[in-house]
Amino acid sequence: MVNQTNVELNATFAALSDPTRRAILDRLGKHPSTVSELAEPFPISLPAISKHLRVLERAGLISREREGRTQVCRLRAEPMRRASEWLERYRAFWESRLDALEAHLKGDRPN
Amino acid sequence: MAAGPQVGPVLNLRRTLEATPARVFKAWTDPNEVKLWFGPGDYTTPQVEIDLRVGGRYRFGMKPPQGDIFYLSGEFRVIEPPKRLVYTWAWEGENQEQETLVTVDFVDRGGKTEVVMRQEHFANAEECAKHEQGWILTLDKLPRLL
Repeated sequence: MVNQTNVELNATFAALSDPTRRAILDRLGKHPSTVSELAEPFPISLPAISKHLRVLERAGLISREREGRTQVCRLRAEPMRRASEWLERYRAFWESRLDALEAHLKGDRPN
Repeated sequence: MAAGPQVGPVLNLRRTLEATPARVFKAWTDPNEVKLWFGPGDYTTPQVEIDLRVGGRYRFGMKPPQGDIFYLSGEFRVIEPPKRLVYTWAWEGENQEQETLVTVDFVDRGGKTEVVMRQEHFANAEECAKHEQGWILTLDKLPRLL
């Protein structure tokens, strides 16, 4: 049985695996943007950008809202926070294990 | 083996240890040694099983001071003593996370060892491997075509 956290993390990592999507998230991390503002720096078509936005939206990483005649995209921080928590948890775990291995190996040396 | 493209978040760590690669590799793979350093803080690691061969599995039982034992297990994909280990990593039980892939290189630094570790979600690593396999299959077909 796949629990909800796994499903979300899978979707988050899949969404982050593309450099265009990462760049979009960087941009939204600074401020909300319209779809055309997001498309502007990239040499790809608007439909291609929309495809990326759909992946990000399905992963719960961004929200899209119609405001008048444009769509405004905003970053949703919670999934990103969970993904980076995963990384930081493992980093802390391994740093402490390497400390322990270092101490263990010191025990080899004669006093 | 060249490192694949980075697909999604990857944990990278490096640490230099005052021991030879052979010594560090042994500490990493000998059950009697692993017991002595692998458990965090005041955990114990009462159960350490290691079948050190490609396709072989390992399983560690870890016990917190107050709590039930829980298990970590995985399968060895690459074993190149004393230079490299690649293995899967998954916590067993109801709070399981996704399987990850751990790659550890023990780099000889003249009597010392630089441990270079990479951990990533297995789905990401599979994507990299698929790309590599695709190339290998293509090259295999080439002699027949010529």
